[in-house]
Order: sequence, then structure tokens, then C-alpha cells
Amino acid sequence: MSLNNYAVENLDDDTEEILPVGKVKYLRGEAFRNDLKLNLGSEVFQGDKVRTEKSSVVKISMVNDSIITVAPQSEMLIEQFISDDENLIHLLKGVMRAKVKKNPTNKENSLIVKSETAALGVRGTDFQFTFNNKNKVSSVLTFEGVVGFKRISSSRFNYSDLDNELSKSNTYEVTRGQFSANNLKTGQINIPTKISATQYHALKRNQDFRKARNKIKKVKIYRSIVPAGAPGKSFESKPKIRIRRNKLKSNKSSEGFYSENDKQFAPAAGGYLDSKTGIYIEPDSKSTYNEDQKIYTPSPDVGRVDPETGEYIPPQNYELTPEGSFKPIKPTSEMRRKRRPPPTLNFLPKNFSREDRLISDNDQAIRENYNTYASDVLNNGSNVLTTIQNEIIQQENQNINNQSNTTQIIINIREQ
Amino acid sequence: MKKHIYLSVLLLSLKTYAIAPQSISTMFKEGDYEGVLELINSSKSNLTNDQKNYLAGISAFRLYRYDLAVVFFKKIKNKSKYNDIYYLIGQSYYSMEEMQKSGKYFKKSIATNHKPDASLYYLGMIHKELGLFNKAKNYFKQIHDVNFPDINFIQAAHHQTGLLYLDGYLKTKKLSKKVIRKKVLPRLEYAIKSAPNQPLVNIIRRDINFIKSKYLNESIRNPLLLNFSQFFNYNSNVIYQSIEPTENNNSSSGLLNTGFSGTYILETDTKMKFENITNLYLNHQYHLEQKDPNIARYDGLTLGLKNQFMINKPFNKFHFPIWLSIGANHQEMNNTLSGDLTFDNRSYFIAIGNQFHFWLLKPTTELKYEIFENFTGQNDQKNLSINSILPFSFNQYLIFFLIGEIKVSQFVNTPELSNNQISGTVTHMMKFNDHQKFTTSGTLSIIDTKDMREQRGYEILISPQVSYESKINKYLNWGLSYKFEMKLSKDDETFSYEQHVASLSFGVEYE
Repeated sequence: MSLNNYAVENLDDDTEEILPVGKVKYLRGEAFRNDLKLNLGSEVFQGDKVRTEKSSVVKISMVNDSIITVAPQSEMLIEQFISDDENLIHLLKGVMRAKVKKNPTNKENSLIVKSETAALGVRGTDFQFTFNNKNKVSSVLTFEGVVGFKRISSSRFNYSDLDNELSKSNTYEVTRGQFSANNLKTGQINIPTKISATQYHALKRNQDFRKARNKIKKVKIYRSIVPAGAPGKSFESKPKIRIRRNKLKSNKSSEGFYSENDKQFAPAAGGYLDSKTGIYIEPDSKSTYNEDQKIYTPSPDVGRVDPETGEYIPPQNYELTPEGSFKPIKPTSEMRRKRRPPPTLNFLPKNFSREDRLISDNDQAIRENYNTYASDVLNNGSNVLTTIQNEIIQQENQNINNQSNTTQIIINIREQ
Repeated sequence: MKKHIYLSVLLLSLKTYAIAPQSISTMFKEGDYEGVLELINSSKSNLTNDQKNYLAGISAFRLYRYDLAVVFFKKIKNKSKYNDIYYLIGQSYYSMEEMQKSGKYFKKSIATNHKPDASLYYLGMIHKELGLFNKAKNYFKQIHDVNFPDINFIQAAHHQTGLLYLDGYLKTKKLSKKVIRKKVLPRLEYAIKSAPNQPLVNIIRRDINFIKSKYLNESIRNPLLLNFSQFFNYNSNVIYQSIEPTENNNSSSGLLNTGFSGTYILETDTKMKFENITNLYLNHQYHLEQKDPNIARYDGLTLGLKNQFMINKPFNKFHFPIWLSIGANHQEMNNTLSGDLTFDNRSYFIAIGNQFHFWLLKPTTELKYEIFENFTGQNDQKNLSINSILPFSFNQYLIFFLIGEIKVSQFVNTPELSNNQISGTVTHMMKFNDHQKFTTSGTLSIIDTKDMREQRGYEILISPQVSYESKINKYLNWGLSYKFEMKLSKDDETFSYEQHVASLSFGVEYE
């Protein structure tokens, strides 16, 4: 039933009746409407603030047949819901998902969702919107259709202001499989970028923000297949199957993009989106490249996703802070012994212009070697200098002897 | 029981995928690898077992489940059709750190001509990890000898070969500066030249800088460096004059010195270098304990300027840097006492110097002409000196310096004080780590008093000193030092003395 029909049916009463704009269709845990507890079938009204507790989810079927699901520990305000095509929701914190039916009037932004730092305009689509009120990052991930996304400076804008803003040409169109978010440091919004295919599919399936059925399995985490020194792309082996042109819109550049002129930027594609912080975990230097999807797959060094829920899982023993760094949960003896620095993430757009950030390097090895060298030299003292020359000559002679014809070695390998 | 389990699995699958039932191949194409793995055994499809195992293997591989990927790949019967599985199994074992197995499959991958460049690169890295540096070097050598089309691998192979030298010599404890200069750095520089526009160049450059700064003590600095320092020094200056050996002239003092300095270095293609150093210091000297009432507190400023122009390779074949430097210093100090103790102190210098490369040693020699204009007007000097510094650096933690100097000093207003000096200094510097430094040094000078030779004879100055410096953090440092100075003269009463200076300093420095 559309909102207009609903209103016509209730015209008999002269008093200005406040009409409900939606009904709770699904409830898990505890959710509130203006501090009143919601139950299955409870009605919600324009101006209502809907809040969920930890581990609670509420799904509201709106009068225009849209479905809005509010994730745990989230808060949203139904600021305006007066007609089929001019609706405004304010996400105060947390995560919400909306499945919006294409409206009959074909108005461009039938639903606008805003936060303190961004606004999105929806026609008919399925998307997830996140706002972290600590770091002020808003992010949108589109599952189906298209969402117009733009940075805003205040959450005080009303529907018509935002509708005007979102109709301008500099609004980003976030399509299926893509995300866009405020940059943690600059607040600027990135060019829509594809996220990890695994996370996209898992999140798409997990419409009710279900937690993993079992506690997140302790999966054996192997190191990345990418050895130091060459771009992850070079090690990709293209599968021997025919893959037609992918339906997912391709990224501007898999490696990311940065324009000095208009300061537009996109992170490297294929990273993970953390719903709690709104932060995008860009593929790291040990990422592998997926030629079919034209995306990188981050290495386990920067975490992974729960294949069941799509939730981002930070590297073992670390948590991702809203400030964008990995904080040790509790330093383990192994961490102390190895003194391994926590993984770092890139956020500044200027870093996106450097392609070498996607090449695995030798830093760690050199540092370890250096420490060994320093202690060796200190232990051996001055003998080092006196013996060097003879040994260099010996080593050089040995190297010359070892150099043999290339083709011969390849043939030997084939024989083995 | 089995039926129940089967049914529950089926129901679960149906529930999970009720939204968009898709075929395995569609799921794979969409990148839904988790979906592929869940449906691979429960879905009806037209795929053959080999096709299913192949898709499942790649899906597991892309989800980092390498152990599972290997299981699926090994199930494939028609291995010649899917000849890329050797490479994928090799990669899986590489990730699982099973190096022997990984190497075996990469060799098979080369035999089937699937990604031979990447496979050789993996073999190089595997042997490097196993510590078999010569074998590793041979695999990298094959990559650049065969000249594969992917230039990334050729460049990476040169890069890794350079690092192999570093690792290899480190492991055998034979690393020297010569090895770094003759083997490691040239190979890394060649790697840059082999593909100067590839992104790996940035990483190689960073490695070169890192190696230069850590192993050759050649730090790469920003062209413009601004420095602020605030430094407090307390010293207990005890002088025993020979004329009154029982009464010392104790003048302990505190010195607060605030300084700004700017260094600008312009280096062109490492052949020429221009360096400008400007210093401005604000001084406040306070005597805490003084026997002589004429010793005053001073406040003032010091301004220094030095310009140095250096040619690193004046001759094409030899690394034989020469430089010309000119400079000026000006100091103005006002005392707190009345009288004529306010002083100006100026000096100017011009110097020409060079540096030889002799085996692993780099002695430097400098010829310098200085003019001093002192505050009293009585001690104006013109000095011509030649000095030579010979550093012996076993590593960055243990450094010896030998310094020799011959100086001819001419006193303008009091020519009878003019003298010739020859002096030698031995300095030993030991760094415990990057934060702590302990230095000992000793200087012996012989002074020919020329016109006063009859009265003073040849004088001897002996000056040993020890110091310890420690950095608390990047900005804060403190230090202790002790210096003893003794001058022996024929005219013992007037010109001989002993001096002890112990000092404690605390400083803040910001770059």
C-alpha cells in the first residue's frame, strides 16, 4: 500500500492524525523508538528515532514498500517520510541497510539518507550505509542498482537542499559491488571503488546482520603468495576458463587513482570495508591480483572477512581503531619476541598516486639482517677488516665458476 | 541419520541461496568463491569433475585456503589440459612455507611452459629463503638472461640479486664496505637502469638509500634542513696556575645556548655539491661560582656562515673529491659588569681541501687560512694551517680518528707571541647503539714560541678528555664530559697551568 492511499483511507477523521510510516517486520534483541521498546508489528512515525542495542536488529517495512534494516548499536532518525518520493532519513550512528523499490514517479532521489558527513540519494536499489560518529566517516556499499553519493558539511540540510546537491554533476554514482566513503584524514569522498568480491557476496547475503553461526573459526592463516620484489599482478595466473565480460562495473583503475588537478582519488580496488569504523582497508603490498574481477585481494597481513557474515576481521591480536590504526588487543609473547610492527594502512590521497605501494618489498628482511650484522661485527671486532679481502676474492672466483648457461639449466629442470 | 544430515545441509544451502539461486560457474564469474565452495558438492550441474575441481581449487586459492586448493587441484585427472595447476600448487605450497614441495611444482610449471618467468622467480626466492644463495642467484640470472617479456621480473631479478649479495655476505660474516660498493649497489643501480619507469624503482631507490645509510654511513638528507636547539651546560672549571699551585681559580659556570641553524645542500647528479650552513646562536653565560670578581655574565649572539663548494669527481676515473670553503663568524657579547669587557669577536676563513680513497680508508686534508679579530685588540691573529684527518671505521659502532695539524700563528699587535704548532690527536668513538656514544680523545701539541724561545722554550700541551652522550628520545639528549689540560713551559711561573673541566649538559634539538 502506498503512503498516498494510506492517507486517503484515513481522511474521515477531521483531527490531524499522525500516520505511521512503517511497521516492524523483524526484530532480534531489543530496539527502541524514542526510548519506547519496539515489538514485532510496532508502528514507527515520522520524527521517530529508532535505536538498536548490542546484538539487536530491527527491520522496518516502510509504507512505500521499502525495507530498512537497522544494524546493532545503531541509531537513525526518520526525518521526513511524507510521500512516495521525498523521504529523508538521518543515520546518527552505526549501520543501516535499505532495499528501496523503484518509485512510480521516477523521481531521481526518492529516498535520501544523510549523516553528518555525507548524503546519498536513492531511486531503486539495495545498499548499506555506515556512519561512525567517532571518526565521522560515512561509507556506502551498493548491492544492487545505483546510489548517488556526496560529501556534505552539515546534517542540518533538509530534503530539498540535499536533493539539489545530489542532482549536481559532481555527485558520484556508486554502482553494484562498489563503495565510496569519506577519507579518514581529509573527509573527501573517494571515486567509487570495488570492494573484495568475497566480502561483497557475503554482505549481500547477510541481509539481517546475522552473526556467524559458530564463533569465527580459527582458520589457519598462511602468508601471501606474493614474494618480495614484483607487483602482485605479475604473479597472477589467469584461469583456463572463459569468463564473459563481468557485470560488475569496472574500476577507474585497479591500482587506485589520484588526480593532482581536481584532487579526486580512488583507493586500490578489492579491499575490505569495516562496518564498525566505516574504514576501507586498502589492498596491501602483498596483495594478489584477480584478473577476472580486476581487483586485488589483500593479504592476510591486513585481516580477512568472515565468509559467512561478510564482517571484516582484523589481523590476529589486533583491533582496528576508528582512527585507522591497528591496536594490539593484548601483546602476545610471540609479538614481543618478534617485535613485529602492526600493519599500517594508507589513507592520504597522495599515497594513492604511488603504484609501488602494491609491490611487496624487502624492508623486514633487510632490517633483520642488519641487526644480525651489527651484533656479529661487535662480537668479532677488528678481525673483520683484516680477513675481508681474501674472502672477497675467493667468493668472486666461486661466483664466476657457478655462472653457467641459462638454457642448459632450463633443460636440466625439464629433465627432472 | 545420513539422510538427516544430507537434508539439513541441503536445506541450509537452499536457505542461504534462496535469494538468488545461481550456477557454480556464474558464482565463480561473479567472484562469489565462498558460494562456489559451498555448492560444489551439493549442486546439480553440467560441469565435469575436472571442471568442478578446477573451479573449487581456484575458489579456495582465492580465499587463501591453500591447503584445500591443493586437495582440489590434485584431484584433477586431465593435468595436461589444466597445466596451470602446477604453478598454482607451487604458489599454494610457497604460501604454506613448504619450500621443497613448492620448488618441485614450480619446476613442473616451467616444464609445461606456464609462467616460466614467475616460476623462476619463485625458485629464486625459495632458495634464498632456504639459504642457498648461489642457487638462488642462478635462478634470478636465468630471468634476466632469457629476457622474458615481463620487464617487472627482469628488474626484480636484478634487485633480488643485489640483495642476495647483501644477505650472502652477511650470513658468512664477510660483508664489507667494498662488497657493498662493488657488488650490492652496482647491481641495484643496474636494476633501476634496466626499467627506469617501473614502480619497483622507488623501492629499489629506498633500499639503496637504506643500505648506504646503514652500511656506509652515508645519510641521505633533505636539501634544506632547519634545526633548533636549546642547550644547557654546567661546567666546573678548575684552573691551577703554576704561580700559585695551592690556590685554584674556580669559575664554574652555566651556559644557556639557544640556536637556530639552517643547512642547504644543492647536489647535482652526485658530481657537484654546494652546501650553505647558517648558524645563529643566542648565548647566556652565568658564572655560578667565581673567585675573580672581574669574571662576568655574558649575554650575546653568535652568527656563523659557511659556504662550501665540492666537486665529487674532478677526474673521471677516480673518486677524489675536492672542495673550497669560505666562512665568517661574528660574536657580540655584553657583560653584566661595568668597564671595558664588552667584546666583539670576528673571524674569517678560506680553505681548500680534498679526500683520497686509499683501500678502505678515506683521509681528508685541508689547507686553511684564518683571520681572527679579538675583543681586546691585542690578540688579533692570522693563522695558516694544514690538517689531515684519517678515520678508521670498522663499522658504524667503532670509529677511530687520527688528526694531525701544523699551524703557523702570527699575532698582529703582539708579534712576539707568534708561534708555530704541531699537534696530533687520537680519538676513539664507540657507539653502544644509535642512542649512546662514548668518546675518548687525547691531544699532544708542541709549540715553538719563536721570538720568545729563550724565555719559554718549546712548550708542550697535553689534553686528554672523555665524554658520554646519550639521546633520551628523538629530541632530548644529555651528556657528561671531563677534560684535563696541562701546559708545560720553560717559563713555568707565567705560562704553565693545569685545568680540569667537568661538565654536564642537557639539550633539546628539533629538526
